[in-house]
Amino acid sequence: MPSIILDNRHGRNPVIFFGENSWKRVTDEGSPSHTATWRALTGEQKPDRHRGLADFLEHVSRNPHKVTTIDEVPKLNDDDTAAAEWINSHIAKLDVVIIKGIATRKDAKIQIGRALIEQKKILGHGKFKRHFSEVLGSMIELRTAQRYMKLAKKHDAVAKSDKLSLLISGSDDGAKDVKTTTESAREGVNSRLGKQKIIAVYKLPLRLCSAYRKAVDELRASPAWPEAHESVILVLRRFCTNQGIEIGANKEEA
Amino acid sequence: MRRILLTPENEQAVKSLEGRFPSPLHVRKTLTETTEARTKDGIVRVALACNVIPTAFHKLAYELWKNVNELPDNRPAAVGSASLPRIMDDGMLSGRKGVPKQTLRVLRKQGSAQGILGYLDATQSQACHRTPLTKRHPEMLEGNERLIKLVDELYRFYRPDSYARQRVEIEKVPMWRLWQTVFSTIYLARNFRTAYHFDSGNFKGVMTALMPMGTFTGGELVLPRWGLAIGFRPGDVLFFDSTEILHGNQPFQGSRLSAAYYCERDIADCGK
Repeated sequence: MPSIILDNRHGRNPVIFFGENSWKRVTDEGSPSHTATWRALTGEQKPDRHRGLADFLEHVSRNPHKVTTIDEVPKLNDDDTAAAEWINSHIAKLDVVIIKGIATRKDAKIQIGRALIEQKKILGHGKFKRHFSEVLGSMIELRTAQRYMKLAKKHDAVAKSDKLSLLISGSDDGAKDVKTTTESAREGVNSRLGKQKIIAVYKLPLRLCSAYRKAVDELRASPAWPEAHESVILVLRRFCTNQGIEIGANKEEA
Repeated sequence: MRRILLTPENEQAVKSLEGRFPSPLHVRKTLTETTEARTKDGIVRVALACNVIPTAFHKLAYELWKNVNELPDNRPAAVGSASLPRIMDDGMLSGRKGVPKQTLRVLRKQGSAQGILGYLDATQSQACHRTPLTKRHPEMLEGNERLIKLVDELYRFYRPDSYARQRVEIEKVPMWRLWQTVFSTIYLARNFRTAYHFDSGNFKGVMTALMPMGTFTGGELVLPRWGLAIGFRPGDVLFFDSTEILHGNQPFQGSRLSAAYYCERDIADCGK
């Protein structure tokens, strides 16, 4: 027994799908193919007349237990999964066809417009109109041709100042590899930002005997060194102040 | 010779491209035949000379130059990377910056390498000198003497104004040029697909001669300022101001070596 899907997502114009493995859409009234559909659906051998959408809807309303209703997207349960998937994929396919058509139509209009502009440029104003009415006038209105020419002009002007296409960088494998490794290197560098090698080491010309030098080395290796380091800097600063020598603003290094 | 007029792209957008890779979307026109391209002000910005180098010359050059093996660690913009501090063995950050090691490893895997032949002008740490590669492999220069002189002749023929300016500059230091040409240096790049960059070490206001070699497809040089791509092949030479015009390569398949003949920026100071 075939299944019926009543698609109510289209408001006042419900759509009926009908079938078992493949699905048929019932939309047009009085189509001869509907007779076969009607026969399969109702078991009626010879319908007395062509059955239209209204009849299908009536049949559906009389046999609600045979019908799966789709009220919104997505509404899937175990029974109607296959049908709903088919609907969604088919609708998506149709969308592609429509969108492609729209795009081509616009492209075609622009191409026509460009060709017309070039013709007008070559022929000049008076001759162009005459040529147009003789050759193209039966296929396309002059007003439409003018609209196409305007569209082509506008499109080419936008393309000239197009910034967006310039902002897209090359994305082949080689470029991607370089970008990825650079980013990981940048992360590595950022994580070490606090660990720069101290380059502001200032060597004091102190005369120390070997015993002193050893002791200072020990002090530098000990945990007390940061405090000792600060104290030495303080002593130096005090001496500088006493001598009237100003220490500049770079306090980090001092 | 074909002559074309160059129309500029959006300036701000072009400026933001430095260090990024060329995309086919940046190209409006591709040059594949001998062409002279001018801007509205009448200045010739690009000159492409096709089939002007005999096959024997560029094949010999390829054989002599294909073994360059220095990594482009000092050219972050051309590599398409950032200039980052080096991480030392103890985990500390070095004061020196350059292309990160990881990126260099990727370049090595891609077979990218560079080399410089001829003379370099003085830096803070070094006086003017003959490049180490030239000292190690003098045959790389001497074996290509005829080619280098031919490129010089072509430069004089195709861009006589730039040639004259460069000649005045380099004749101040005749000891620091390659034979009697206007070039002091040749930069070699092997399998190096560059991101958009400017060449900073070249003498300004003149042109660089660029010559591809090898067996490859793709690798067009893109000049985004005018949405222009140069589809040059072995045997062709391109003249353009690489210090002022942002340029980079499209990806390519095969083995590609390119040689840039130029005059070092401060070469005239070598005589002081």
